[in-house]
Amino acid sequence: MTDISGLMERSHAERRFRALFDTHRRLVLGYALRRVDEPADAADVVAETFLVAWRKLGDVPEGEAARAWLLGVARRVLANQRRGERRRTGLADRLAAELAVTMPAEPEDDVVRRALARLTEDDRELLLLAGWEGLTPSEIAVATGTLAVTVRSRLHRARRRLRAELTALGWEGDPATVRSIAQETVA
Amino acid sequence: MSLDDTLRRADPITDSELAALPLDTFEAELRESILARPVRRRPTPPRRRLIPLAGALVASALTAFLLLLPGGGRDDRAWAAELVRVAESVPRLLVGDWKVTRADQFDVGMGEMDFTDGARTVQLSWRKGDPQPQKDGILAWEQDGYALELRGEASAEARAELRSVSVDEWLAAMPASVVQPSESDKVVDAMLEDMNPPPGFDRTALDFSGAPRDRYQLGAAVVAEVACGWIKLWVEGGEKERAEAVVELRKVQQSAVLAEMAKQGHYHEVLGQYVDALAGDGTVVGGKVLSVEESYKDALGC
Repeated sequence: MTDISGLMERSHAERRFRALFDTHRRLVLGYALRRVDEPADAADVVAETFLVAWRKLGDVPEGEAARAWLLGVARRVLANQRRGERRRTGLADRLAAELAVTMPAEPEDDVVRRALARLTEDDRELLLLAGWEGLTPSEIAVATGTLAVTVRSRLHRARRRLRAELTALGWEGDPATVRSIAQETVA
Repeated sequence: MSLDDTLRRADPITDSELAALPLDTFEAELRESILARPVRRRPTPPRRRLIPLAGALVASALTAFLLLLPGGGRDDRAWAAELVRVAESVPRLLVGDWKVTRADQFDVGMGEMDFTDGARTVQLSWRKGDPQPQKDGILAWEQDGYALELRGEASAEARAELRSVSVDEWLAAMPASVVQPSESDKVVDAMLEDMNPPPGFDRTALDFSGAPRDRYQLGAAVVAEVACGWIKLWVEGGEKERAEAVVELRKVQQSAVLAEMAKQGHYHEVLGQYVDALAGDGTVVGGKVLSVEESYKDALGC
């Protein structure tokens, strides 16, 4: 490869990465913020996720399909972080410091949080990816490394379990009137 | 308030709140810092296969299982080496002499089974990895690299009766609701009996003879193949085709397999939403208003 073609390739990659980052930075940040105890930790997830994306830019799908790919990476980064395998890249220190002062404290005693906490990690993650990140079953399948048809049946089961846990905790919603969200419920 | 609304309202940060966070400067700084990192880029790999490697391994193992099960009999098994390897990698546990009532979600590294002693039911699940912290009413422990959980009122009693079994005994404990590979074609044909195939219907798409399937999941696949074809006709057709599609989808709604599935799950409700939408204004109301065209494939598993 000549120097010129190398430079052109680098320039193209940088342009693509900037667009990817600018489009999806808040998606990944939101995913992390919803799952960490300390807002500042979310900055590390964002940094590590996009660092992986930069290093594997050729693997990142084009267009909206990148959403599920990025959340799949973020999911693994978060799992490593929870296992104490956090990588301190130092890339996001200033973002972390800002997040620590920007984000308000969340209410602790929330019946839905408690019900979610009683579910398996897999059930909870499926429900949150669908309900909070708004991913379709196909996107969840990509993010979690499984098949869409499996996601659909697991989502249905997870919703049923959440309903049971909520009811046990005194939830006042009427399970009989629960409407399915077409994109989430099928099996 | 519906379950979906309740879950959404519990979202600690909404999209609009996220978008409003004053972090642009810090994010731009992070972006440029990442770009400054050296990278040795690999060439773009070829498109991934649709089936993940792990899934392919199970599929091939189960295909081999089929080949070694002439007539689909449950006796005198000689399991294929690949299947044995997959089955040996999971904790094969049964609860005393309790009956397995549901067994699915099998993947390499995870699975679930429901057991009953006739009066009580417990659910056993396993997944590769570390166990979650102990929670009320759930027994969780680690075994051979798997996180196991037992749920249900009799979980402590069931835990005491857990026994490790052979591949043969474990697979033989699968409930009757699991459609065996050799029966798949016959079952699919029976499910199709009271539905009319849409234009372009491809029966071979329902060739599941390679792997055992839960009967509900098999039913969902069959109904989806038919219903999706009719909906496609509605989407692409004129007034006449649209009217025909609605009539045919009403027949699908009345099918025996959907009636059977209605006792176990919600597929019929989702299909009902779409049939009503096709007969109405072409939109489906769930968490938000969606057009049939943009949402039916995801919703129905087309």
